[in-house]
Formats: sequence, C-alpha cells, structure tokens
Amino acid sequence: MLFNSLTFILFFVLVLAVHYSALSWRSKKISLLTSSYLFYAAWNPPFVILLMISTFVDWNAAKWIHTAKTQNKRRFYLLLSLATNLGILGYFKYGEFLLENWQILMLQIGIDYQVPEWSIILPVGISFYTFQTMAYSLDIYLKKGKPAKSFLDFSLFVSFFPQLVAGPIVRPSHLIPQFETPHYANSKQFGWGLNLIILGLFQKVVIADTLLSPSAEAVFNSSSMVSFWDAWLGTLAFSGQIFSDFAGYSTTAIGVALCLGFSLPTNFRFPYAAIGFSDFWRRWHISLSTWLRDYLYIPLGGNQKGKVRTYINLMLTMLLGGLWHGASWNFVIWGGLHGLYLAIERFLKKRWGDVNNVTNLGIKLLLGFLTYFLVNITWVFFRAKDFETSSNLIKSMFGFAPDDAATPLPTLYIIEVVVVIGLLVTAHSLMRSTTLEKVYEKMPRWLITVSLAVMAFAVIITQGSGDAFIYFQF
Amino acid sequence: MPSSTSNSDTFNAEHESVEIDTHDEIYIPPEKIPYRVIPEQPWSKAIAIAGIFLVIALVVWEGFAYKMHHTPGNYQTGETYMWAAERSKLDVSNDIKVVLTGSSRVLWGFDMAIVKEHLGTQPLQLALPGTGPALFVEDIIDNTDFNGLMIVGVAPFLFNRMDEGYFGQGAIDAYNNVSPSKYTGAKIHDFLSDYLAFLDESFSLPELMERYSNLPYRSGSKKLMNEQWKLGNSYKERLTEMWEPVELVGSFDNIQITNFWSGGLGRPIPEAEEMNKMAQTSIDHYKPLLEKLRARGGDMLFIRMPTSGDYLRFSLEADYYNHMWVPMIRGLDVAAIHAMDHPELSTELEIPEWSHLSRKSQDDFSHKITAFIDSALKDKSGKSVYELLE
Repeated sequence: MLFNSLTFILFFVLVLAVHYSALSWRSKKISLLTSSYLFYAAWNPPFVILLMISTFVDWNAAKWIHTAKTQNKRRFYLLLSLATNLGILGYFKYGEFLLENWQILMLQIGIDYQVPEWSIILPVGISFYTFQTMAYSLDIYLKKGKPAKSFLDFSLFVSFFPQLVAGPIVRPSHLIPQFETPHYANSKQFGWGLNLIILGLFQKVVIADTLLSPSAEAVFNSSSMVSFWDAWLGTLAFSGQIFSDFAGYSTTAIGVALCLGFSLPTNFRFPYAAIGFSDFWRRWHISLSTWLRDYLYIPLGGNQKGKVRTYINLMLTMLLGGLWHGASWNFVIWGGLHGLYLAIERFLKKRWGDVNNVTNLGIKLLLGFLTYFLVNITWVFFRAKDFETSSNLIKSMFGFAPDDAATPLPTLYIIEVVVVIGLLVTAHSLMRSTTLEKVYEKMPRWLITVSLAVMAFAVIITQGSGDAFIYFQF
Repeated sequence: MPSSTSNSDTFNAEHESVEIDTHDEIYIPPEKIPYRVIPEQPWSKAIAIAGIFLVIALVVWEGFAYKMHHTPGNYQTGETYMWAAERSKLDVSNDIKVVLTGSSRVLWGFDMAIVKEHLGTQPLQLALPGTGPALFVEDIIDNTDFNGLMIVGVAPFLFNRMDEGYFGQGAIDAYNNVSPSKYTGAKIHDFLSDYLAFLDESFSLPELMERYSNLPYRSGSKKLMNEQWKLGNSYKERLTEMWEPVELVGSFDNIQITNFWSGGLGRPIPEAEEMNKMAQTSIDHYKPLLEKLRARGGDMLFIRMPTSGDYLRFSLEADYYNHMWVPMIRGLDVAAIHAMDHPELSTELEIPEWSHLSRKSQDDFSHKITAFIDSALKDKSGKSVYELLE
C-alpha cells in the first residue's frame, strides 16, 4: 500500500480509530499487527508468509542464542537466523543476478551454461525488514540486547507498517520497548505527526514525482547520448528526486508512527549540505549507514586492525551497501565509488586534518560543492539502467558529448530542475547545523498554517500517479 | 569492560573496541527510547485553520475545473480497472450477447444504451484506445463461452497489431494481476469522481502545467503540449464521449489533438504488398476464431469506423480499402460494414478531430448502426441480428 494512495487514507483512518478506541492495549497491538500484515498484503498477499517466516525464525533463534550454554551453540543459532534471512533475500533479490553472472563466468571457460528462466517477483521492502529483523538476532548474539518479552511485540517490531517497506530501519532497542507499554499521541504529537505526513507527501508527490522525475526520466531513458547540459540537469534532477522520494517516505513514516504515539528515528539530515563523505553518510539514509557500521564495518575490524584493513573494511562495507540496493553491477559501482571517496577522505584527513575543523566559509562552500558534485557522479550509476547509459552520461557530464547530442529536456523541465534543485540545496545548506524541529519552532504561526494548507493543496491537485517509492524495490 | 560501542561518526569513527565475539556476560541495556522532539507550536489550531484554507482552496479549484469543462462522473479507470470489470462479466454466468472490440473509434462510436434500445440487449464495451483487437478477441473466444455477436473495429494500421498496443497492457494487468491496494484505490477514486470534477487526471497540476505552458520551444526536446491532451470522458460501463472543447473545430483542445495525429501521419504510406500481407495475417489470425465462434452459434461483424481530415486522406492515399479491407473481409467471409460506404455513417456525422465521433454523432451513429448490422448479417448468413441474439 502506498502512502500516497486513497487506499492508505482509508486504511489509516481505520487504524487510528481502533488505536484510539477503548480496547485493551494488547487488543490494539493485535490490531496493529493485523493492519501491518494487511498493509503488506495489499501488494501481494502471499508474501506476508515471508514476513512470518522471518519473525518466527528470529524470535526462536534469538531465544536460543540467549539461553545457549556454549559459544558454538550461540554461533549455530546466529547462523540459522542469518542463513534464513539472507537465504530469503538472496533467493528473491540476487538469484537471477548470480545466475546471470555464473553464466558469463562459465562462458569465459568455454561452457555454455543456459540460465533457467527466473520469473520471481521481488517482495517489496525485503531488504529493509530483513536487516531490521537480523539486527535483533545480532544484538542478542553481541549481547547488546535481551530477547523481547512478548512474541506479539516482536512480531510488531518486524512488521510495523509505517516503516515496514522503506525504513527507517529501526533497532530493536528503539521500537520493542515502545510496544511494551501503551503509547498514544497527545495533541501536539498528533499535530506534528500530521504536519510530517503532509510534508513527506509533498516531497514525494509534488517535488519528486511531478517536478523532477520527468526530467530524470527524459535524460536517463534517452536512447542516444545527451548534451553536457542535459546530462547535468538530468542527474541533478535525479539527485533531488531520490532525496525527495526517499526522505519523503521516511518523513511520512515518522509522521504516521507519531500519530499513533510511536517514535521512529530520523533517517535524513539535509544530506546535500554535507562537507565530505563521512558527513554525507551521517546525513543520508542514517538508519542503513549506522546498521552497516554496527553490524558489518565494526565486526570486520573497523579501523582497529591497521591502515590497510581499515581501507579494505571501508570498501567492503560500501560495496555491500551498494549491493544491498539491488542486484546490479551499477549498484556495486555506486557503493564502490562511495567507498573510494571515504577512503580518500580518510587518507587526506590523516595528512591535512578533519574537514570539520575548517572555519573559512569559502573553503567550506567549496568542499560542500565538491561533495555534492561527487555525489552526483555516483547517482548516475545508481539511476542508469545499464553500464552503457551510465558511461555515456558520465562522458557527457565531463564534456565529451558529440556535437549532435540529444537535448531531450524542454524549457519547462529545465526551469523546474534549476529552481527546485537551487531551492533544495540552499535549504539544506541553511539548515545544515539545525534540525527540522528547531526550524519549525522558530517559524511564525501564520507561516506554518499557510505552508500546511499550500502543501496539502498541492498534493491533492497534483493527484499523484500512484508511482511507487523508489526505495520500495530495495 | 570491553564494549562494542562507537562514537556517533559513521564510518571514519574511531570506535573504542571491536571485541564483538565475547564470552563475557556483558549486557548493554537499551538506551532510553529517544522520543522525538515536538516543536512548540499550537498544532491543533494550525491544522484546523489550514484545513479551512484547504477546503476553500479546493472549492475554488473545483469551480475552476467546471469552468474548464471538467465534470464529475468521469472515471479515470476506463482503460484499466473498468475495462477489467467489464471483461470479468464474461467470466461468470451472463446474458451478454454483443461484445464491442477494437480501438478508440469503436469506444467513442457506440452509446450502449441507445444500441440496447434497438437490439434489446446491452453491448459490452471492450474496445481500447491505441490497440488492435487481435489479442482481446482471441482471449474472449478461447477463454469464455461467449456465443453472441462480436463487433470488431478495424482502424487502419492499428488493427493489424497483434500485441497489446499502446494501452492494452494496463487493461490486461488490471484484469489478470491487480494488487488489492490498487483495486481498492481505483474503486475509491471512481466513487469520489462521481462528486468531484477536479479528480479528472487531465486536470491534475502536472498535466495542466505541460498542456498550457507556453514557453519557448527548445530545439530537439519533446513537445509537451503535443503530449498532454484530453479527448474524452469515460462514464459507467465504459460509455465514452468526446470532451466538449474538442468538438469545436479550431479550438485549442481540438488543435492539440489534430497536431498529435499529424505527428503519427508523417510516416510513409505502406506499400500495397505490405497491406496485402497485413490482410493475410489478419485472415490467419481471425479465421479459426471466427469458426470457433460460429460453431458455438455466434458470429463476428467487422466494422470500419468513419474518419475525416488527414486521417481520411491518409487511408485514401494508401488505398487501405482495396489493399487491406476488401481482401481481408473476402478472405474471412464475414459480415462487414465500411462506414465510408454509407453517408449516414460517415459524411453526415461530425468527426471534429478527424478520428472520433462527437457526442451528438455518437448518438446518431448508435441509432443508425443497428439497421446496418442487421442488413450486413442477413447478407452474409441470411440470419437477422435478432435471430442471432435470441
């Protein structure tokens, strides 16, 4: 079910009605769990079974890890959890990719291996809930947490509908305790939650889908090489589209949860104001980057096993982070570039010092611009459907477009990209050191009222086309 | 005590320890739940006032929609979910005796209620814009027990497409593979469309921006105004009528559509040999289906809807009639009506944008066509349409 759908409005009204009824807290949790399964089943009902399998396996595996007497047993139960979760993920998400690459590898040694037809539908948001539930078993194994007291609370943690399909990826210690005691929103939380829902939908429906997506599509779907300006405008449009789409989902999810009285963590913090890549990853998809840090980078040894291992760990983490997004070499390149950026930044930091210590505004702006420039290069690989498209675009962006390169963007789209991206990057820069909450606290009341009305009006008259959020596919 | 905590930095953080796999009975209690900070503002008041502003703005927007000739009762799901709902009627016990297939000209050509007045039975409208009927006729014959009259629309150079065409896939998906959320969303949208004119997707902000933006044209870019136009409204049971502003020849909305058609008419006229091949392909496809339907007691009637302007000129220049229509009908040995053979079905009707009938002409056509159907069937099989539909 999409947040930007009429079905969701009806669904959410019913969920709220039950949540604020006179039922017991346990009944309300059962209702929330049922609603969450319905929310997921609304795409493809049989896939709810996958959620249930993950829930059942991790609930038991964590319990067994906690009570196991020997380290070998603890390890075995952790492996059981990881194998189940990664097995499901691998089968649905990476099966075809692995087979195709296996076929190419076999061809290299002269074996013509025919790949069987792979017509598996990817369950939406599988990477999100798999990582979330894996964090539970890992936390118990790493003794960072204790098993949940109630199977109902744990089931709800795995499937809680506001963040089920596109995050934020929530840690067990953040969400499970909230289900243990009755949680309701007071009028201020409810109002702020509604505001976040409207803001998130505005980001998704108006900015991402309406103002930026057509430009990105026109450029990335062009059958021939595009001009220097079109390549840049299309890429900038995508940078704004993916932020508005994904941050819009997170903002809406946080708002929906807040209206029910639950708190979800912040997932974005004005990423296009980042100075450097460590900074970028503290601002972009925070729940994934911290997950990768805690459950991959640090267990690999982090920065504690020497210089070379640190760089290797960084690269490995980011390559797997890229692969998390999808089964394609383009995502691997995207992750690899980010790994490379982080490694170079680390190398430079050791010699020239931390960029955070820079005080000169001009240099900060320059470094911020450089970061955004380099992030845009990575977006080309993220968005392009194949390597040929991405390499053509990169060539155009660096001035190697042929004289007769295509110019697919009409004047209206150019204006939209320049204005929206200009405003977006400026807003991020101005809000770099603050939070959305602080900005709203300082806003005059009349402006809050007007902005709410304008955003809601724009969302309604734009009538979203019902396009899924980009991150649902991950 | 060893710990696996790190500071808040993401990857370049100097974490204190990496001793993860430990036997020590360490347990780091969960942090206090970091509840979200709520900005100090009078939220209830702000939302209430914003709600009032929103309602006022929507009322004004609705008025604007009416002024721009958008009306309630016009559904956006005519080519997807409504089509699927109509098609599903053949899957259950039914008394459907007439099915309309083909492309948009058949869709805009028939008022089913008027046809019912004459035939005594309401046709099922399954024509789809921008598609050839091949796939859909095959589906109905092979997968249902329909045994009545199937009217097959023939649109030059679209009819011979054997695939789902431009819009057929949406209909097929809606019929075969619709998710519960999409189905519910479509139902709610249709329900609201009965009351709200601004829900017409042609009146959505992106479409309005593209249709009415009159910015300088950038060489090589796509022509937005050519792509965003509105031809008709879709009502219950897929009754589809021309949108009022399009009926006025020379109006902005009329010219938008003729400009779009002109783009498609720029292609070279197919050679006679190519059209003969098209005819043979169609015969090969429809002949077994026709025999199957006749064996059940049903029949087919092929109809070529009228055109005007450059569409008419194009088909005359191509001599579609002699190279495609005549050999195909002869090869199939099937009842057929070519509208251009009958002034009442062509030159006497309004076709304001060269391709589809106006609302008034749809009514006229629907009143007149049944007599022609009857006559065509009698000529071919000696059986009247009323006997066939009994």
